[in-house]
Amino acid sequence: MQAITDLRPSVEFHTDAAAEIDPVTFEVVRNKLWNINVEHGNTILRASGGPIVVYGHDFNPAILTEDAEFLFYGPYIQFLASAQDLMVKWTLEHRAENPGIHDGDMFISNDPFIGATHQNDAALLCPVFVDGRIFCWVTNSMHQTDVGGTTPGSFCADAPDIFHEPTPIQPIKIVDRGEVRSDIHDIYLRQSRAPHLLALDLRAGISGNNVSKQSILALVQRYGADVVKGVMRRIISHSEQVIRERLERLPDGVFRDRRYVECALPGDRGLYELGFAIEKTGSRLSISNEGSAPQTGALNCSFGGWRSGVINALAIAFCTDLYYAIGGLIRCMDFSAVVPRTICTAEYPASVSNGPNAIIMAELGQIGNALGRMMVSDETQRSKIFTSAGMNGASVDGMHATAADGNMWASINFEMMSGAIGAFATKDGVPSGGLIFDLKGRAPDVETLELGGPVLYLYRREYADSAGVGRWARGNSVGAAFVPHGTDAVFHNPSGVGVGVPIATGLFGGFPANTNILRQMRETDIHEQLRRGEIPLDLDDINGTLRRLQPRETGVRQGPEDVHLFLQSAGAGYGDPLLREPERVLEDVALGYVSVPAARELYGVVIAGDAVDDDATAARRAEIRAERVGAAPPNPISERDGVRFTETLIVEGDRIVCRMCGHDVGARHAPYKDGLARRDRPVTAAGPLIDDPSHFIDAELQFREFSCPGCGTLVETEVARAEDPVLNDIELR
Amino acid sequence: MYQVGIDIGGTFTDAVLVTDGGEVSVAKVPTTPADLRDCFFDAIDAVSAAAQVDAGADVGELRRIVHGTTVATNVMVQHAGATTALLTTRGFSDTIHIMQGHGYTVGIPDEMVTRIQELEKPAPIIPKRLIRGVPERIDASGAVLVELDEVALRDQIAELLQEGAESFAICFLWSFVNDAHERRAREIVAELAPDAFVCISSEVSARIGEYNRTVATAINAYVGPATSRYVGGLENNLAQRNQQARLSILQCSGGVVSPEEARQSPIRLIGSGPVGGTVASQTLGAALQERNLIACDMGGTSFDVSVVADGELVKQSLGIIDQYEYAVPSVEIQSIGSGGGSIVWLDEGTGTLRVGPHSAGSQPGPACYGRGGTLPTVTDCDLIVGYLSEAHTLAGGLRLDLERAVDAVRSHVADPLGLSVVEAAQGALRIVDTQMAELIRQLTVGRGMDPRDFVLFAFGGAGPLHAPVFAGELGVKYVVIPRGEVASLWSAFGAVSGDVVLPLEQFYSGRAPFDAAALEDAFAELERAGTESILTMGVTREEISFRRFVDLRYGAQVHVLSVPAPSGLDDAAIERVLADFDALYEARNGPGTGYRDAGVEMTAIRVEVVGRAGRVPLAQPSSNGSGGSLDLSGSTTRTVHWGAAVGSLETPIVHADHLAAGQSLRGPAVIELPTTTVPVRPGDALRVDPLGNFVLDLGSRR
Repeated sequence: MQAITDLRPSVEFHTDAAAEIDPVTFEVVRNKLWNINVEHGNTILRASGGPIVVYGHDFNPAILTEDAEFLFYGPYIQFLASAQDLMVKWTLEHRAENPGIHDGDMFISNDPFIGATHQNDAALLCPVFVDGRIFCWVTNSMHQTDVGGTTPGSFCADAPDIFHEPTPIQPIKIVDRGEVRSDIHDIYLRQSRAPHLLALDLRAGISGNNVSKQSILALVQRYGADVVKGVMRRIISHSEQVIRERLERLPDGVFRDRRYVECALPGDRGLYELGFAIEKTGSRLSISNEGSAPQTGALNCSFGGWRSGVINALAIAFCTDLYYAIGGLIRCMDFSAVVPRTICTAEYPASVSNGPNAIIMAELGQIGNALGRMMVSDETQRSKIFTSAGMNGASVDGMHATAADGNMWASINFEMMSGAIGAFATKDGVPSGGLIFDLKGRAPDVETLELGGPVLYLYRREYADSAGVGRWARGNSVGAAFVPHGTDAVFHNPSGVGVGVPIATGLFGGFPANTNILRQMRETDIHEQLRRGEIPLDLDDINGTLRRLQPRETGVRQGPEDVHLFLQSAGAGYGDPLLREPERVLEDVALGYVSVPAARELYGVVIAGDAVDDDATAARRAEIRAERVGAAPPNPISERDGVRFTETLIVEGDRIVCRMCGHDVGARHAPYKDGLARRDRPVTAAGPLIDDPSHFIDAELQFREFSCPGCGTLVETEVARAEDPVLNDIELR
Repeated sequence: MYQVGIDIGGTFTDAVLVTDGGEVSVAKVPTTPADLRDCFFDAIDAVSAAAQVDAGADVGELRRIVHGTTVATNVMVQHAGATTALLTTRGFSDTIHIMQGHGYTVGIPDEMVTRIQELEKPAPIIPKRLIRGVPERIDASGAVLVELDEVALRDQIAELLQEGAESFAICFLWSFVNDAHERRAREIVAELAPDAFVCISSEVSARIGEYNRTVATAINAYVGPATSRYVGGLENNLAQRNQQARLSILQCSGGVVSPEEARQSPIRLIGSGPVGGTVASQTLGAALQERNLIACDMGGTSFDVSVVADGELVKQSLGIIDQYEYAVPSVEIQSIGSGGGSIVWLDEGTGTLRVGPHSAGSQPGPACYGRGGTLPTVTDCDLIVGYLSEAHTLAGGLRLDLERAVDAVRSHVADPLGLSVVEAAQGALRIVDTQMAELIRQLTVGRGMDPRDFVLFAFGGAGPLHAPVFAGELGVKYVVIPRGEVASLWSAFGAVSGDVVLPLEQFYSGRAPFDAAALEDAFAELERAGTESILTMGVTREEISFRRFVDLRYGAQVHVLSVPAPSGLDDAAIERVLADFDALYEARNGPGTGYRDAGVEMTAIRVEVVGRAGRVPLAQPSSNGSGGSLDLSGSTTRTVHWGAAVGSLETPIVHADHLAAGQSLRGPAVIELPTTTVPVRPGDALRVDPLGNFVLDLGSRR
């Protein structure tokens, strides 16, 4: 973040910081500061009590220094907090003179062009004063159920620009010297379809900030302002120091990843590139969105939202053992290379109410892969590599109906919360493991959903073959199907990506996970079927007409005989699936994570009865290797050690060499994929639950496999638009 | 007449005998892991001898034996349960594996939750191969949409028996509204497998939310056979001894129940171990006329805190074991890994001194135990600063080795940080004391309660050692170290003082204004059913009372608060309940957070059917203590390093036997008891109350 450029004389910072703090006092105060932020979160969780906060954990509290540097943010939805520094900075620059920043004030904002992820995410910023000077800030951000706009739930899938969306509120003083301003309070509630929930959440947010503020003041009282501030400074600088040491261990270079998102407005069949590059020089990280498509339709995220996703992903790689003290991480980051006015850096007056979820959740997996390419050489950091996890592309489906009692019911497809943790570099992912950016969120029970709304679930289960296959895999996701129950119709407003194009792409030869699947089987005899005692476990078990929902539609009617399925895009695979032990694949099959045909087709593991057929497996695997390189590869597998360039390539002097067979792939500084055998197939070949893109987009997609010509080991995969060049995703300096 | 409380721990089994006159005798015998029934009866014999009664001869005199058992907890911890099958509604077989999508993080401390790459889901209680989706479906109104397919069910049960199933959990959707399918399925299991343990979710946990209910039912079935064998065995042996005494078992809710009920709901025994200490504190608190208590149990590996607020045990509606969250109410006990065995270490990342959560446990244990542990622990620090001493022999004959403690602290912590050994040890103690204070703060301040209104009870081997500091940090009224001889058998004492309590709940869905007559009927029906059950537990009709609660929330919220409700509900009473809800909500969540405009919804009604069988009258010991201030001038002394503010002082050491009721002393002093030690800090004062408790006045630090 750039320094505050326009600090008004009316604002004074309390900057005294003790240079020497004994290690015990440091630890005691650090522990208390962490707990203060946890307690802030718990207060919100209890006092809000709204479904989105309780199940989605769609909020996050933070503590920032006087000049808007992060100390801690909480273990809730992480990217919700990570733009609060931008908002505090803006407030300092623009609100200090008029209306002024005083002790007891709080500012509310949901402006994506300042720092909110989207308008639903309202932040409350609270300065903490000591001796009349700003000592620090406590803040929180919470997803609000509805803040207005064209679509219930405020994900405005059809908004061409911001004027069709909830009005973005620039930071405005809602608490004035301890008193809630009723005029601002009322105008804030006025645009919402759910004003009571908004009111409860606002009260919860104010209460959370107050709890945090009072606790920090008590800490200052007890230990002295200079000691508390000294601890804050040291937490940040220590975290910076540790992260810099970790970065120094990694090679300098540029590391990239490319994804595609689709359908910018209802009816659009376009495909748009989301580019990402991270250039590492010493301990400095230059971040870029190079290659990203220009802002368009309703498929946009502002810079603040996208930057939050970047910070979130880097925190997972570098800060998990540093209590997410991300201030130190941000000091290592430079955003000056960012390209403005793209789908991930959209500017006013672009529509930004529903694109950010899709962009940020696509971006997390994307950055995970790019960081994996940067970190793979270091044995001490390799276990931190993560691949795309569930909720890729956030296929949010806002649903509403009129219940039997005449009341309006609105909800979303909460199955997203069941998540899936994608594969890691050293172990499997976690089936239905939750969300990697929101570890404590959860999916409401089916009974809770049926009590609250006019729906009847037919099943909710883990889906075989949803996870991307790989050396490490098993990040399977959850699908659920329901019918309307006690209403004439349920209306759907889907607004996500990853439906027409696999968005959870794998790393180092891992395969992509399934696409987000929203389908309806229409005009069925489901009620007759139930009366006969037959409960379906998939849409295939039901007679009817299949209707695919497009990534972005509004008001899709589901009648009483129509069965609606949502299956979330799962976790990606890591490494060549042929390197997965056959016995592990057998266990995958026994546990229902992989089907027998997929085991044979994708893993090359032939299962006969309850056991692996070793001979048939060896033959099938040899066959797959030959298919990859066009003929039986010449080299036997003979693993060697070395500094990793990818999972299966190593650096030997100036050459890139296959770790599995010793084949020389090319010069260290040449594009490494040029030295590999390339095979292109339709993306549907990458997994049985990847839908045919032609149902959704016009572009032709390829599933590209890059394999070692020596042994047929799969080095890397790409999901790419046919006309796009091969991505040089690792460029060492 | 008298009654006996038995608490079986890992090393020792404790027994407490209380006469109807309130006289207390105690005994401690070694635990016999091979067959816990042996130590159970050893303990009865030992405490009978101590009380000079003949347990065999005075058969009519022994009214009741109350037992707190960890048998069900152990089965879970050791993954040693029965081969258990789950029958659930077709389409929902994966519910227990999906774990609502947050099984990855449930029960993981906040500081660890961020370590995504290190977390895993727990091992399954029931593997997928032993789960069957039964064709049947009931909706939220209780209407049957799909009839139970008995033919399919019989085939499924046969398959599961083939797979070796010994125990069956049955959990169908909406069974708490209509339990017909679950009951019928149980009949069929019983028919095909008459020896199998079988339980249904509508009886184990009649609450909305299929995940938590399924887990509760699955755990119940998993621990059921082992618990049944154990409790049944105790009953048989009692019968063989011609013992007429009624056996009661302590549950995690803090109440006791009959052996039959314990066998049916073994899940309610899980986590009951530390609850005895809370109940004991509640009983003693009542005798001291204190209604707000913080009960702190610090042992070797953990620090457990529970709260009694306004005389009532503070409960939680969900239990957690092994990352599984289940719908059974229990006394809320929050734990952190801060015990005597917690390891003191240097965090390379932040360059600071840290304590826990890793523990050396009792094997190898702290460095000073000399059992091979080389890492410094909290106990080593206690020894270095002089709270503990090489001269004082601990339970089990253990003597501490100061040199090993000093070596461990010096090499791992003090030298790298450039601190002296004493400074490092004092620092580690400050850190662990802060952690404990923070946990208590979260449970009190974080819930809208002020610790300054509370009395803190400290027990367990390390509780009294550390309470003087963390209690001072919180500013509690004073600290009680429970009556000398009973302190180390605190859970057994709690067991014997527990009431018979049957916690019942019923789903209730409605929005204010509520129909008072319908609610009154629903409560009366629950109370009628509860009365019937509790009368089978040897409680007389006169001893029965009811506590009613309604679970309320603001419109569209998820979380509920349980609010007490009176009997004889009418509109005015309901309005008072709603006002209480508003007030409780704001007390918990902060002023201004309540919002009646959103409407109020009711999600359940609850009744605790209480049989006041357990109340233990505490005898007022004859006040033959001399009273007055104890003269410390002749005491032996040692150097205690009290910390930066005070420094190091030659400190008198007092054996607890030398303190009689009514006596008092001023710090600095260290009181040594058989199983623990109480440092009385300079400025603090300690007195022995008429019941024999040590009462620590925190002086100016309040």
